[in-house]
Amino acid sequence: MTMSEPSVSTRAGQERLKERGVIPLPEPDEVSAPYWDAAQNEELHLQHCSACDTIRHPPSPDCPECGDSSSDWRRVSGKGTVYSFIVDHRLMVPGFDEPYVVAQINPVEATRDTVRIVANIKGCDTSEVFIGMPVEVYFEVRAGMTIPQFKQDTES
Amino acid sequence: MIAHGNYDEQYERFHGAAHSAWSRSVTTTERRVAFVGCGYTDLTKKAELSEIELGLAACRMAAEDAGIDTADLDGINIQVHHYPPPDTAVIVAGLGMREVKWEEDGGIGVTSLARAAGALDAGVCDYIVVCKIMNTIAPVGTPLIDPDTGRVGGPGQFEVPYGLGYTMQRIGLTSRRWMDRYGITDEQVGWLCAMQRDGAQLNARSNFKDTLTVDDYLASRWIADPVRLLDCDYPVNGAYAYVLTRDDLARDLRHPPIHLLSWAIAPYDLLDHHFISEDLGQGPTPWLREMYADAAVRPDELDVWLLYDGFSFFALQWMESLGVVPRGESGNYCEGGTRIRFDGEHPVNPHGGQLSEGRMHGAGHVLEAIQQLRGTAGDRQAAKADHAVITTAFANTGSAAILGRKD
Repeated sequence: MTMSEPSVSTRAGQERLKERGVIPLPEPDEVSAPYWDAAQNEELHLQHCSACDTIRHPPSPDCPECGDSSSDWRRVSGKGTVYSFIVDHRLMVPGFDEPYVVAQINPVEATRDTVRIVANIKGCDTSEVFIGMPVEVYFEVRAGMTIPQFKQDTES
Repeated sequence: MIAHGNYDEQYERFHGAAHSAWSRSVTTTERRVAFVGCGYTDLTKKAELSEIELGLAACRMAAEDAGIDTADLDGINIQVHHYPPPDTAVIVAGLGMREVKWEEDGGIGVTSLARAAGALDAGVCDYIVVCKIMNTIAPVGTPLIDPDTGRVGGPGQFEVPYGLGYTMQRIGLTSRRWMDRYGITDEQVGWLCAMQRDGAQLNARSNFKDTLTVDDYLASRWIADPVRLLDCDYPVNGAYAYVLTRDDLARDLRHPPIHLLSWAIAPYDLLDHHFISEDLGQGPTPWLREMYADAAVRPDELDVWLLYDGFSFFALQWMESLGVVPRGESGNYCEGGTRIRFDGEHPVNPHGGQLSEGRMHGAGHVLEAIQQLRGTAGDRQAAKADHAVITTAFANTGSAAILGRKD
């Protein structure tokens, strides 16, 4: 980044990222790596607490339900329901050019509705998305990285 | 599979065990504390004065309004929303304060008032000025995207790659869920915005004085459906200030004291910052119940409702959290507008709120509560104003206080 680039902490900086065609991608870390690694193989894996036997997301060192730090990863069905959603029209985040859905999805394996995977619901009109809509995972290659996405589950 | 709209089933599935870990926090003082002065600058779109100049102007006006010399102020709280903050020592010097016996910067709305009240009650100091300074030039919260690689680490890695990075979007997610859960309509939210604007037309500090109809609201452009432009508060530069003291010191001052009777601050961030809980049952949300007990005031005795409206949805959600309407009934209560208008049975933000005055992080609600309880709100004065409630921030993770005018 040159000195003349506005900081990304300003609106001007974010506009500049858009102009440059920057597409935001996840930066995996020690805790989250298994999630993104599984996505590269087109599988959805979620963190599972070994102590209280609950699925959680996003990944964290300690279980938000019981506080235990022992966990493993489970491959899940990829099916879920829409907890809530927006249709973004402001397009302030770089990498998005027309109105798009941001949804929070409760995976069917979760025991609390606070387990929510954020994704874009694609493959249907934005007006067709609703709370409680059955969805299933699919995988999208975005700027060379495979990330989980969700679409309407027509079999449910 | 959960069916659309079948919330009873979802409740059973997800909320079988109700929250039990409500912690107790101080909600009132032994010795009564009161507001005795208030001051304010104009609220402008462009920064016309420095933050120090804004703060000094508001603090001086608040002291003048109280009828005390700024040199006699001995406690100070300065709130800004960005870093670096202005140097409080410069404001202390500008006010000519002889002694600073208490200084604690930061907080927002009710939380700052609660800290000040605690210091006064403990006898640490006698006259505290609490001042909110807003500066829209400060950087806003933007997604932390590496400008070279586009990578996003931390919690944002699960959100920003999907185009989720701004508060107004998160408010859309919680508001959609809440509206769907209780059948609250866009028109009902529009009634709140329209009625606040009716009051704003009678408020010299308001930045918006033209009439707003529900149709105007519905026609305003989408930000993040269900959030429209007119759901968002208006960024401004300016400062508001209040002087607080104990009742025993308040009696001989210029205005009758307006008592800070009790308050409540959410005990912890409920599961996540943007979670609107659906399992709280009827009546006030549990962490707010003690506020009523400590003030010896019932929800139906709150005359004027100064409800945080950083986003319009918050004001409706606060009605339900406070228990002044049954849960899920805020939309019906707003519909038609006559109940919540400045001349209605329970005026909601008769000054126009942050949607009309501007984004003062709850300080405008405090100022209006004082003016309504003093009976000095002019043409927008509520018919009955013995008790007012003020709220700050999100309805389930924010704070609230009850103010009263009677001894």
